[in-house]
Amino acid sequence: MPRPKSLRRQSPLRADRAPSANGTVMLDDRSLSAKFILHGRPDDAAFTRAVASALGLELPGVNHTAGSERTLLWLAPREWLLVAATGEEDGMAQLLTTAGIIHADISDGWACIRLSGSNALDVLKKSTPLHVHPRVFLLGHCARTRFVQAAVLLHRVAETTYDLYCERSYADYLWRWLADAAQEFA
Amino acid sequence: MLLIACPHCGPRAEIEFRCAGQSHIATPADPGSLSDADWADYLYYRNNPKGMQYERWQHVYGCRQWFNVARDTVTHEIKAVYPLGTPRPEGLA
Amino acid sequence: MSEQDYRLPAGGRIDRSRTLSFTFNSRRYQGYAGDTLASALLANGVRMLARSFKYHRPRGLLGAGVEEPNAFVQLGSGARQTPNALATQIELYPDLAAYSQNCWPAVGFDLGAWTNTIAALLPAGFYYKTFMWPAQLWRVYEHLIRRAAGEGQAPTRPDPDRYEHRWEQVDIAVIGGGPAGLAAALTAARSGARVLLADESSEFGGRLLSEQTEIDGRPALDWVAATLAELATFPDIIRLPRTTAFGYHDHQFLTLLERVCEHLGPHAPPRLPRQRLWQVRAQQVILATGALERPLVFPDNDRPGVMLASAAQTYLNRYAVRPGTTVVIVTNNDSAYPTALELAAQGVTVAAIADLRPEPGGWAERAEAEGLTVLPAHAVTAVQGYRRVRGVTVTPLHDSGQRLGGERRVVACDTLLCAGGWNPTVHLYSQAGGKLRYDETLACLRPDTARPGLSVVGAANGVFDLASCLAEGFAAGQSAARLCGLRAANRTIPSATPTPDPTPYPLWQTPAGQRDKCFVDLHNDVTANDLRLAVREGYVSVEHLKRYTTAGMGIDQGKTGNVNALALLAAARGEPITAVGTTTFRPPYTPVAFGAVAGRQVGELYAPVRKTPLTDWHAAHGAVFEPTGLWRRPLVYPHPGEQHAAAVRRECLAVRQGVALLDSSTLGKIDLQGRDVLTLLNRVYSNAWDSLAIGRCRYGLMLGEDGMPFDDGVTARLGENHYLLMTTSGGAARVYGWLEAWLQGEWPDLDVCMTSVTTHWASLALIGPKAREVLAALGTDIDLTPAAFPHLSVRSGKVMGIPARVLRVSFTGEVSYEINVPAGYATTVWEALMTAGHALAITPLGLEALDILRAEKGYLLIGKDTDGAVTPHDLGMSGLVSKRKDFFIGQRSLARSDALRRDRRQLVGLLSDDPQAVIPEGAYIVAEVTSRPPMPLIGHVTSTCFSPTLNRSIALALLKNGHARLGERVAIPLPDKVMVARITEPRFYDPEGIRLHA
Repeated sequence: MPRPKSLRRQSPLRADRAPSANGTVMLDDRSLSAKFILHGRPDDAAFTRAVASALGLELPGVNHTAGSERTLLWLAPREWLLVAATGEEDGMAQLLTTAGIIHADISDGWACIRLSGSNALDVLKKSTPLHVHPRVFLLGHCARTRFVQAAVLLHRVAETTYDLYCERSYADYLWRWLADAAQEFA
Repeated sequence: MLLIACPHCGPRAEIEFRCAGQSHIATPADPGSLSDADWADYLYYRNNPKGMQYERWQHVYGCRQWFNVARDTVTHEIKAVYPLGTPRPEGLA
Repeated sequence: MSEQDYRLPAGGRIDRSRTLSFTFNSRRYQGYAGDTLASALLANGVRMLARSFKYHRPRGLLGAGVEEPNAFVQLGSGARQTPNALATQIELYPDLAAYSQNCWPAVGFDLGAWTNTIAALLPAGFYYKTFMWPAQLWRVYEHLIRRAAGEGQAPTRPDPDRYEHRWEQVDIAVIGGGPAGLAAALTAARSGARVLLADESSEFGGRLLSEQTEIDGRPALDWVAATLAELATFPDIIRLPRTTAFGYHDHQFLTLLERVCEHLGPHAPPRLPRQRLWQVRAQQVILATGALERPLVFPDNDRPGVMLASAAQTYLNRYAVRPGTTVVIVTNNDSAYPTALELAAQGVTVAAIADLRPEPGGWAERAEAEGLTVLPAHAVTAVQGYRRVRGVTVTPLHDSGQRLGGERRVVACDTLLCAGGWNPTVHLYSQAGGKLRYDETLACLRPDTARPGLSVVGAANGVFDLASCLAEGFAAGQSAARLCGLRAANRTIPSATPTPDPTPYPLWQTPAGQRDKCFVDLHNDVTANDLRLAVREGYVSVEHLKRYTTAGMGIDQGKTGNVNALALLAAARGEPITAVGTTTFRPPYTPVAFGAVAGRQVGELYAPVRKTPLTDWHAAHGAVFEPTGLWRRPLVYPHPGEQHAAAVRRECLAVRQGVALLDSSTLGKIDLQGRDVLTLLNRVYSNAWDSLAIGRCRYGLMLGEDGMPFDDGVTARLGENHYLLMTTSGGAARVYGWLEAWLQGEWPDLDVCMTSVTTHWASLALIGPKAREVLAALGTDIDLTPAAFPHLSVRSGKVMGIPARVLRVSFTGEVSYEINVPAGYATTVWEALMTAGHALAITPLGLEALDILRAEKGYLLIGKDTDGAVTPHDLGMSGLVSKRKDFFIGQRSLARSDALRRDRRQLVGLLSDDPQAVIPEGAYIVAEVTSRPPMPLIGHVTSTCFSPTLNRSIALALLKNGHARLGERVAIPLPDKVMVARITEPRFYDPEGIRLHA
């Protein structure tokens, strides 16, 4: 039974978008995507085959990601985050269950803020001790880190574009922090 | 602030980790056979060496994995990072 | 006096096209862009800037930079004022306003100066001697002393400025932008390294900015400019002027303070931070922190007009300011001679150069050839003048400086420059754990042992010759680049003007009398006699001496005084300086504002506020919030005009008689899947889990290895190998970490996959006898009849068409449906429930009412009704301790002899004799009431309230041997009365639990 279309799923964030005064830092809310934690052993051939056939993706290694429309992000030696388009929550759950992949739906549990712009890197450097130099934290890399006072999964999706995943309850804090950090760039 | 080489994620700042103190404390196979004093010793008594300390750390803000660290408590130099359940590396002290 | 009388007509690194007006002690002056407050005041002939710490003696400028011990001023006013700002480091900006500290009513007429007349009563350690008795009066003394002695005033209003933090990782960090640092940075950059170069000054160049030296036959500043220009061509080089590296921490981690906008004062763009704290990790660190000149120790060496020769050179060359009209120079080495010649060339009268050395050598000859008077083996033995130097007395030295004799002569002058040798700036090196050695020749402490990842170059390393500094810098840059795995760039070492020999004549103090004030630490007003007195009193350890005399303490941390103090201590002990050792150098090198440490983590960003999907709804509906961990949860929802207590009562009665709705989304929820989840549950909970059927829930107590419960909650079995474990709101992270630690550390063989789904599921608890009616009205495919959906069970289905997990669990004793829906739908479902329950007077339920409702049922709050020394048996929950299991965490501890004692503190209920009187929370229960304390304690009240349902007060308590004393009475002494209460079972309402199963 599909979810009723008439009911709107709410993001934890009240604003969709916040640019800095000069536009060199941009925030976008991307919280409503479908998100699952997948559990398995990378040395378990049945598991890797199931992932490949169900999702068409190779399991990414440490701090790497795979895919674009559906993305797998490495979280831990036996954990990955699967991100898919909004509305795919139920279908994806069915697909994973059928494929026998142990998973948990966290579509509503994690928020995602896209941080972009020519000063995005400066905003990161105000917030995390992670080595985010573009020569080190490459395109497609991901890392879980301490981001001010929150736990954040950082994913570099383009040259100066980063997706920041955090627990839903921290989304408002993180958004305020980022918007405040962007004030320097006006 | 220490720079700790997480065995999975690589070098990260100390504030991403937590330390749970002394490692290599074997859980008694049969706690019921221990005297109260021996049980208290297992539960509460820890070493506080000046020099090489073997301790458990968890990458709580990263991959959340536990691992062992051999750290000199005088210089804070980290001599080795090695998995839980493996013995102390030889010849560090 | 007309404006800027002491300014040279040309030269200096100031911008004469930009005249800046400023005030000092409310008087207006003019200076130029590029001036410091100190140089601008000096240009205006202002000599007296401050009063000293203890004796309130007039003080002027001793230094020209970070070493200055006197000229701390109060900068700005109102919320923006900065105490203890160093005039030598404050860059002038338009309309700057600064004030002298530590004087009242004014620096020129300071009532505190009376302390100078009673100086004999203020010897070393006077704190400890004078104010010891009677001890109670210390509070009064302290107040007066703190006001008389002093530093600046802290602002009383919130700081309006922004402070930023920045994390950075570089290959090579170079601290200090003098010749050695620039050479190192240039080589590192040419080798392809990512370099950070920081210097505390507004300009790079270090001492080269103060001197008239040449590199490769051209002015040294041309080389500086060329080097900076080349550095600018590398894209990945971070150059930070106005940045002080103040801390060197483990693993090459540096903390630096960048003064981003301070030099603009209130004219700074508001978007920019005032300061930025850099937290930098470098693979290699090169310290090129330079050296600071030492003053000489002689009577009244603190008068305004007594200045370091190196500072005079800085004022002359960098700021184009004459330090005075007529100067006398006293020196123990060659380094003051260029200053003398440069001063003379600018028309300053150099009346005499008193050189402590019997045979001063080549530089002295050169000075004499230029027509200057050099007096070999002469010392300054007196300084004339109080508010400013008017002349000095010079006296011949005999017997290697141990004796004075011969013709004393008084030389009129307005300025006395002293040059006592150089102290390498080893603070950061020492913070890094580096050991120092005393160099007998240079008479200074210099770096000794190598530290991994760190090299020290130039004057900081005790190398003073310019060409050698450059060579060391280039070599260190190459070596650091190689250690970073790069190919080091070639170097060509430039030639440079030879640097005068800084080897000092080792005379640490001019012979002086008992009553003479020869200052060692000007900042703390510590004299040579103070040090000797302290040693006579037995304070012979350098750490004791420091604390007893305060030498080297405070804001200035002994930048000019420390080595002199060590030498005098060594002399007093009759030992070599090496034997004395040094005090520990600790961060920060210079003061750091609290604002910079806090950064932007202030105000609403001080700490995260975790929000449930319903937090905004609660706020919009008048909830009073209470912080619980990082969450803020509704305490009560008063109607407009409704009293707090009335609202709580209304919410309680709604639960017992109607229906209420609670946001329990903060409860921790852990999704457990895998073949071995059951095994895990049996090990981490004290009760047994084998019989839990799919679709059922069970309450569990989670014990530490010490046998004491640290969390509790319900676990639901969702499928064959699928469970949902729930924790308390505050314990969620701890329980998750606890399970991880056991699974990874002890039981890696268990097949368990754990996911925190706390924030995915919003939990809406619909509670009360009418709850079923409301949920049914909302529309669900779950059969709600009690037979199909009994207490302690879980059903998955749809509510309003939304996927939901509904649990029948209760923390109030009433029928309760905890409706879990994906958080994005929480508000929709919540509002629908409020609408559906409107006719039944549904109310949102706050924590305060919930606390009463659970206390009525005797349900525990772990951490409130328990502490770290309460077992499940003490709680009357022995039924939750399995006797059949081989193992569970905490099992062994419950068998300790102490855990088996019968007279342990146990959880009981208390009903006060006066049913309307509420026993205060935390009140002590005593065995016997006596007329005054102490009374033997036998327990304390853990939870207490007035129960609207029972219309009487109730309480829970931990009471010694409580389980055996049911029905007895106990006394609770309070400040104004003694309450008496009857001991009961800790269940006051529906003890059989009939309502739960309705």
